Amino acid sequence: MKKMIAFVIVGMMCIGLFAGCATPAPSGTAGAPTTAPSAPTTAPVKVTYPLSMKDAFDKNVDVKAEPARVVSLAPTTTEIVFALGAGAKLVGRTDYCDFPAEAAKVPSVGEVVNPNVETIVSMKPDVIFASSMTKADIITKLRQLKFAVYMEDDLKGIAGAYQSIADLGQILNKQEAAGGVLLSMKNHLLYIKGKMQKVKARPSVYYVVGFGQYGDWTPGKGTFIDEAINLAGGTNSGASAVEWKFSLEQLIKNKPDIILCQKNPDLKGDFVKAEKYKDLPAVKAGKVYSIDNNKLDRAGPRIIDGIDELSRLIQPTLWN
Amino acid sequence: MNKHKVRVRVLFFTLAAALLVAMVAALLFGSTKTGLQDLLNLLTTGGDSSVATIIFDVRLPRVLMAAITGMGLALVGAVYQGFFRNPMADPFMLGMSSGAAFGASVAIVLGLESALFFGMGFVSVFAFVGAVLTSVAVYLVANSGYRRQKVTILLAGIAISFFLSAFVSLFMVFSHGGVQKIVFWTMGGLGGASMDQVIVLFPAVLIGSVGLLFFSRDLNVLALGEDTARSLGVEVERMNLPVLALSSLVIAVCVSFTGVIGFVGLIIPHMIRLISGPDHRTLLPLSALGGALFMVIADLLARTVAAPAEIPVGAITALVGSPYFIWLLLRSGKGGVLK
Repeated sequence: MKKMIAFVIVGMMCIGLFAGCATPAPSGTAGAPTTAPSAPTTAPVKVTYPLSMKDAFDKNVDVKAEPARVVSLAPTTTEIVFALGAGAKLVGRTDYCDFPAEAAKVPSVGEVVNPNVETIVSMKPDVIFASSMTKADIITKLRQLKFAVYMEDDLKGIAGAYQSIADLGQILNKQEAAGGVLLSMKNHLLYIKGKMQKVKARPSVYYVVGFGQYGDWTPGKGTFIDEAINLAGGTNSGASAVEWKFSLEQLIKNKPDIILCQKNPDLKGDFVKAEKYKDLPAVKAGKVYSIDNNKLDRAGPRIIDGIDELSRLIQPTLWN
Repeated sequence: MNKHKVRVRVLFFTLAAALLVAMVAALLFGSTKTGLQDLLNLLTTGGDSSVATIIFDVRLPRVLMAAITGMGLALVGAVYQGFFRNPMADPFMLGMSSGAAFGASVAIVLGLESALFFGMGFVSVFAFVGAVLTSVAVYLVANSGYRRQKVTILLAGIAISFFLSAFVSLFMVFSHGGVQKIVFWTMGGLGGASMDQVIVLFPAVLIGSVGLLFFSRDLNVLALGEDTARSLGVEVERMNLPVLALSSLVIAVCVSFTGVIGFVGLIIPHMIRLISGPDHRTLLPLSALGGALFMVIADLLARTVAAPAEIPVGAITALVGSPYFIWLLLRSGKGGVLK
């Protein structure tokens, strides 16, 4: 009897040892479809090729070997490629890929919505990164020409950014770098949230995407920027906008405390001088600021920086 | 052989030859420097695989699609100009552009774009259905209208066109993300052309075009006026359905792949008519050739002039078409082509 118990205890210890020693299954085994890690808290493992994964729109991306040549069809993915330290692999980008500055040295393949297929083909990419802004028939054509195309979704905010960075890190065999970027982003967000715990009053914020004769455009409830404004310690004065469409009457009625104008293109200069807008209380009080909307619009490595910038404008006292 | 017949023959061979040259040139030029030398290298020493991809998988489908759609648009334009006895008729006058845009917008707003369907995206299929349903609607409305007159068809087309355009505007207002894509679709372009699409496009346009050619004589007689034509044995009302059906097939299939490309259907028939005269038996086939040539050149310019940026083909055709059309109007004052 005693021998039996001893046997069982030793047996269990052995099993425990074995389990602990076993290497975690590599996330890129040949042919097996990989589920991209939702939040890579697992230690970065060596990526093995050929690699098969699903992109943000559930389409298969099959990469045969570690990509040496990358074409990016969206500003967001260009930023991610450089953030991962893979900028040297970028052989093509769009006219709108303006960050980081090194991207300007890479040849262009045209616009985001309608890039030039022939130019893309001539660059012989091993993988193409795109966003949903590119015309679907161009993406279809590229896939039909047997290119691996990964599409990210700019509308999924922070979660989308984390996903894209993790996925691209895997595709480019830059998982360590991806882990680093994600960790720093998450810490930054925690830091901001920590500061926001001390919020006493939440000013109402109106975020100007468009104004004037072409209508008043602002992100409504449910959009990422609405979420960002709340994270940054404010309330969204334009929350009732439908599909980004607001009205001047509503704006005048709501009397937002702070007005933020997009910098790309620069709206502040015209906004503060425009008839009917210049009499808004926030304008008169001088509480109209420019914000770099590229950080918030692109679900990429600078998205938390965008929230940081928002927060410094909305709750300046908490940052001093 | 009289001078006129000689002129027509010369024009025919010139256009055919020019089309061939243009198509070959379009294969050898593009947004990259891939050209004749690379093609020869490919054929002899087996050069670079991307050269084969560029010439045969990227450029060739575009060139074929440009030629086929140009042919269809110009031919239908010539048919409509004769059928409605209106020199300003173009293939989209019956609201098919709005119908196609409506269909495409529905697909874009519903997010169905990337789904595939016989090599065609859902956007193309919906655009086709939208265009076809529009012509059916126009025909039905016109048929129950006053004496089935041509004017009724035109008015029905205009009314339905405005109605559907309003919906497209509504879609754009209520779908912030879809606006850019809808606008780009409407501007037209051949960037996504593939051989699968050409295989669907070619038979449809061919059947429609050949069918329309059978109406050449009737269109000639119709030019004398509907009553005169009737008294000469042309069954004017019975022409409505087959002519509209065949034309709609051609236009719907073209527009579903390329978006709305204007001016080809309007100006090519006029240019041909200046040289070969109004006889539809020569006008229709020559317009088809001229349209194909025009589109191949326009697409070549669209993808090379500002490379790598792609200028929408519709913009190029309009840039060329508008000045010419204005010139035509100015000429008409001196007893020119417009009666």
